[in-house]
Amino acid sequence: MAKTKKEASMKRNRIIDTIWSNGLLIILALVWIIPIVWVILASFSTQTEFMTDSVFPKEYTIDNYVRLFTETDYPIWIGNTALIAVTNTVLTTLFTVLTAYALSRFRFKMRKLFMNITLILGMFPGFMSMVAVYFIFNMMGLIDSIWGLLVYYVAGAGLGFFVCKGYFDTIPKDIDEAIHMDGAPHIVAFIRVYLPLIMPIIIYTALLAFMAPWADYILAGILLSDTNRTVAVGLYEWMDEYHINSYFTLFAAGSTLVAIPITALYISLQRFFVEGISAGAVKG
Amino acid sequence: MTNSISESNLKLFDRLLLPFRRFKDLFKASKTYGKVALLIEVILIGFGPLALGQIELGLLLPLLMYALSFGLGFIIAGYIGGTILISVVSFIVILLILLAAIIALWYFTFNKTTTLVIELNKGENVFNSYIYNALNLLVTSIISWFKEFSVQYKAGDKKVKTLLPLSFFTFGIPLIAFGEVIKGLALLLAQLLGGLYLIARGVNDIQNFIHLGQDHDFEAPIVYGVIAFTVVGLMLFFYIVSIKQTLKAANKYNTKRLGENFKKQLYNLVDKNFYITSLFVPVLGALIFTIIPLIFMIMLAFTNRSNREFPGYSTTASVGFLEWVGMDSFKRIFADGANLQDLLSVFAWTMIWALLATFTCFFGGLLLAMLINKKVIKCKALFRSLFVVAMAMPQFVSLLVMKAFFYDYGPLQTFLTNIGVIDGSSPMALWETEFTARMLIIFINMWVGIPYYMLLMSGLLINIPKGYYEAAKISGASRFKQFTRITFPNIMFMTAPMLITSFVSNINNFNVIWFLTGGGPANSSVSGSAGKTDILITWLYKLTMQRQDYNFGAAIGIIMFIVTATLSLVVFRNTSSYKNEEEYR
Repeated sequence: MAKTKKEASMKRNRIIDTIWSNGLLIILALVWIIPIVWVILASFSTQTEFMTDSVFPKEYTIDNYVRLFTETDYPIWIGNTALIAVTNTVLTTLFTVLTAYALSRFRFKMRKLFMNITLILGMFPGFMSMVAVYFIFNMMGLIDSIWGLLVYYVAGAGLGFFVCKGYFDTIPKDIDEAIHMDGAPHIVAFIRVYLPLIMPIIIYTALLAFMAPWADYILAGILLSDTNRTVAVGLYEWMDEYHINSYFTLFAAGSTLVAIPITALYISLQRFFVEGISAGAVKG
Repeated sequence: MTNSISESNLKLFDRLLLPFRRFKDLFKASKTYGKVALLIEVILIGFGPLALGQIELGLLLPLLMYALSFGLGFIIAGYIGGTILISVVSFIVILLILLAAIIALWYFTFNKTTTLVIELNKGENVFNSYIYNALNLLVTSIISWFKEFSVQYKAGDKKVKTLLPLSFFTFGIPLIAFGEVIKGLALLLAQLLGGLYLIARGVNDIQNFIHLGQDHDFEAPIVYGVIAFTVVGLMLFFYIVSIKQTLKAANKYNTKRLGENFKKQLYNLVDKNFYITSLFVPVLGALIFTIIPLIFMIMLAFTNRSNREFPGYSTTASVGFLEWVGMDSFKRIFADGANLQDLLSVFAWTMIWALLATFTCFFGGLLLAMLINKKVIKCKALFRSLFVVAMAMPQFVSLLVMKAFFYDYGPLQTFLTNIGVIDGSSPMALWETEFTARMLIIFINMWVGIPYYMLLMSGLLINIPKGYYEAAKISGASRFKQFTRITFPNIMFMTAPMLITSFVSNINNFNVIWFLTGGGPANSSVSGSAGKTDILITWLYKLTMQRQDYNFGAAIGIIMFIVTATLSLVVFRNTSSYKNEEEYR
């Protein structure tokens, strides 16, 4: 009798647990999903004002998307950003991995110095030097050119090697010796042996390099002119107090279009991303 | 496991108290010098290490400590006297931070003194001066170089006797003559380019840099000057490299060892010298686009470059030309009450923001990961992907969307109006009120950041051995106890370094603040350069980009650097990856 009572109470506890856990998770999921659903639906709204009398639009149209490509500079922005992002992915990943490889696998005189300087540079607020960067780009004639922006991103590639180097460090040293026995030069070892081994971190680095131009507001805002923008700068302006009321649905459409491919990319590469952030977090 | 964690906590506490516990015995055991040093540390608080011969450290730490104490007194007096108008919260935060820093510095000197006296008692040499060591190293290496030079010169034939002196004047030619073709060519090229640059404009640029003066492009003399100085520094570096390499080559030649032929030298660039090839572009890029601009910006803090006029200070706006003004920009921070108030308020909010942002996301992510991990939850992958969608959206999109969501007349307000909670005609002005705006920033940052931490934590939770939980269940530990004794300590152990790095990166988290509020609402009570949600970095952006108050912004940037650098250095020195770099091999 006592036993069944205890079982019953355990079962009841279990049911309560199931209900509140699932309930809480569903509420949380709603908190995360509603804003996203809202902006996607708003991008199909017939009402072009930000101020509406209902949360979700009542009638739907694809007009906003048509306007986005016919009446605004959005195609230029997205073309610019995509071009920078793809090129940046290739070059930044290459240089980051090369730097990490050199610092992890070679022992040379200036190595510690180089790493310490990098560390100190990372502690300065990033755009403290923007005025000077602007001036140097002006000197080089790279103002208002997306190539200038790209040069700046790629130039910083060598400074972001820490996570990648940490990953290299975990690869046993025996591999080096085995390669040397074969008499293969280091570059061959790098390409044939190391690159496949560090594939997860390469994908992680590439993903971050691809994302950076989409999120960069500061430098893109300073270097590019009004007609030759990137997505982040352009969409930001549509959301300021002067533009928001007439541009909001366009903003919603533009954001949705940008977000879909990037989100898909993220979700498909989620595994590598987790591996990368875990490696970075645990190794400090 | 649980025991060992709590024991290690105890150990940490004990370790912290150790210097005080052993002080008495140590004092008895020491000879006169040690006794005096310990007394000095106690009486002249903080000067113990200096008394023991730690020149730079012993001067820097106590001076910093006294400077901070002075600042603390200044701020308290100003706050009570009503000359510094900041909110109570800001005041308390600043008070706590300064106190913590002072105590930490004092503790450090105390600890250092006792450890040094212990070393002294063991008969070790405790004197240490970085400047002395550096000079010593320089002098000894020059002397040893001269010795080596004379040895090689005497031993050499005619070729060596001509080539070695030649290496004082040209970087590459002797090397090429000795057969080191690639090194020689590279150095020769560097000398030619650098020399041509210096003759063409470098020398002139350096003169302009020193005198500044009238120039339509105010930035020009500083940028060109910094570039010229960098080139001079590089030339000096190559000079030393070339002389050393020539000596090495001469040694090889004298001992009749065969040098490597040209093909082998090329091959080395992809083999044992592959690091040079792979680091060349990254180093060059960092030099041109990071280091030179940074030095430029530091220089700017000591000029009058500003488009805003200030009574009593010369700016380019008031004088019309660029000049060096020393510490004037720093003086402006403290002499101008409004600026100091801005700095203190912004600093306090930056710290509150960084702390809250880090911890809310960290614990939120941990709890969410644990919630999804529960057995009773079905469709784990679906839920996880839902949250990942929010994380995967480009950050600026999600931030701007969330900003709009809480805007006046935005969907939240429409919804609340429609269900009759608020009156739609009068906006809630969530972004216009200091408190709600700050809360929203924290909340939205959680919205953006929690999924990221959730992903990370789910990965880490798997790494905790299941056995711990089973053992805990058998001994009847409650769920809460399992969390505080197993999950949390394990996660903390794995992520402690990241917690600090993310704290530092939140101090520099420009995007969240800028996209959400742009630093607003505006601050009407003081000078108005900083808004109520501005953190240091957004304030810096406003100062330089919008107000074009360049020198003041640069000064603020230097102060920021000191704060973040201290934090990161303390932490970084203690992370395992720095200490045991070779451990993984």
